[in-house]
Amino acid sequence: MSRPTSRDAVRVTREAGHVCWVVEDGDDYAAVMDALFADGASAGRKCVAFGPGFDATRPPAAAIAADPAVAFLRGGALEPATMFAMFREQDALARSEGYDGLCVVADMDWVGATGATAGDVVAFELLLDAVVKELAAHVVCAYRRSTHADRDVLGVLCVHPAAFGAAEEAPFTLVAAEPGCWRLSGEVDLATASAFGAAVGAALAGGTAIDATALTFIDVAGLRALAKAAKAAAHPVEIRNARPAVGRWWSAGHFDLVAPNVTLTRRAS
Amino acid sequence: MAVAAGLPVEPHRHLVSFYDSDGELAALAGAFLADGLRAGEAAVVVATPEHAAAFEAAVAGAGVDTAAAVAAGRLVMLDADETLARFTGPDGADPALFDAVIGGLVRGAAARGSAVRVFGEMVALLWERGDVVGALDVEALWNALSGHADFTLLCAYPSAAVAGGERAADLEHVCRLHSDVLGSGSRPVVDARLGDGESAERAFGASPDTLRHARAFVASTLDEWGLYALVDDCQLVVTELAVNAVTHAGSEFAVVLTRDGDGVRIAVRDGDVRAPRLRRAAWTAEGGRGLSMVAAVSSAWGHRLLDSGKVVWAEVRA
Repeated sequence: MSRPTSRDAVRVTREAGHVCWVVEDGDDYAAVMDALFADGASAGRKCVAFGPGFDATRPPAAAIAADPAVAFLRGGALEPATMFAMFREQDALARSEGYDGLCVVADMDWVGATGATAGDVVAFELLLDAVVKELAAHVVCAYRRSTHADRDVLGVLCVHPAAFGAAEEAPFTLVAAEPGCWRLSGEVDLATASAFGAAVGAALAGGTAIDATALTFIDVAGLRALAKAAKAAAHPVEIRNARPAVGRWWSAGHFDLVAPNVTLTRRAS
Repeated sequence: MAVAAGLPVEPHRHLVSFYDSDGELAALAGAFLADGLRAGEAAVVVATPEHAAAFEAAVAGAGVDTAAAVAAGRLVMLDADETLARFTGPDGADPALFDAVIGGLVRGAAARGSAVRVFGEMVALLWERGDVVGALDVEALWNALSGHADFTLLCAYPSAAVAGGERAADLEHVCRLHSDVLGSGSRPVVDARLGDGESAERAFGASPDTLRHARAFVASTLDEWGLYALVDDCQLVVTELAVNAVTHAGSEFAVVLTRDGDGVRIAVRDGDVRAPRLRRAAWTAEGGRGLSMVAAVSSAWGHRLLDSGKVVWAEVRA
């Protein structure tokens, strides 16, 4: 399979905003990053480079660079709220400087220093999606295959609306729709149940609705993860437009008893 | 006494069910007998008087004229203990007497109907009395008889009698003497039309990543057969059966789809010789719920133990 070109990277990022970049050994990280920054700058965006050790070395094309583990998390755990406050501050600062928002390229190897688990990273990326949409930012998250197990790469793919550099497609995606609502598409089964559990747990901790219009399949492992997350959320949860079969399975499996706070609704079209 | 190791017959011809209540048994046996009588078959019932009465009521409730069937010799009701005594001597079951008595009953019924199906619980009575060897002997004798007589047999044991870890080896032996073990709540599935249904088969690797490929195979096959309306439940069935193969068996698995009229039978064959268990998980408890979902969305399900693995099957109809 041929590796993605810089042009692929730029196109996908323009279309989707929040993008997962799967980096193989031998990929020219710097070249792709430079192309993304060149495009971002030409669109009036402030270019921000994140990565391990980036406090010390700033890529030339970036306006600012940082190692988030050091600069924002002060060597502590991966706190999503801290990171999102930083994004909003940086966006406000950039706009006050005359930019049209942010273009961020992050070498996600920086996350290792925080001790975050694969589930923590999935949860962070899921919530980040809402922030990226809110700020109309471009954020490219680069995950190296040499750092992350295949199953963990699959997990982060599932919480980005778009990706480049990955041989596989995300079997499902869970991404931000409107505030408080997350869109679930594709198929959830045992292969992705763990990532799905982390993602939907994060989604329902804050949000109240899952749009399941494009959910084509979910197995018992997925239903169980959904019920567990809804039960933990302990507030009313709406699953919108799930296929009728999903509603049947929800009651047949007694998940309605595990999480009675869940309502399956159908929007009249 | 020594009995030749009776090997089970073709699929769906020697069924066993483990029932939780007499009501469940009456529904199962009633459906089994009524299906056959409606199709012009003859039915032989070897049961306790209480059970026989319940079965007759269930069959009548299904719209079958039981009096007419009895008068025509197409429905034969026999007392299990009396029948057992006719071929049992001081050393246990006598193969020659079994063939004469039971074989005679089956052959007589065959003259009255298009085919013969039998419900028997002599084996359950023996088991409950602690005569496990006797029960296994009689099961093997039924299998030997099937070598030269044509019939479908449904045996039933109360699940309470066979539960308990100390009986696990004997229970497995019972299962191996049957062609299929019906799942909890399953309709009895009799397969008189072996090989008539269209069929498709594909093998998959022992990894959760292959589950979606198994679903895609099911979806495209259903589409070819004009049964795409069943795709949701069929995809759930194949996923849950395959999950068991991949996680409990750790084995590659094969999906075999067989068309049966307006329904489809989905079978997953794996390399694990341990029987599946329907986990009676409390509805609030986490844990394996795959098979209970299969039971919920299928009209019939069960499993068959093979020499080097097993097949778990489920039927989905509109």
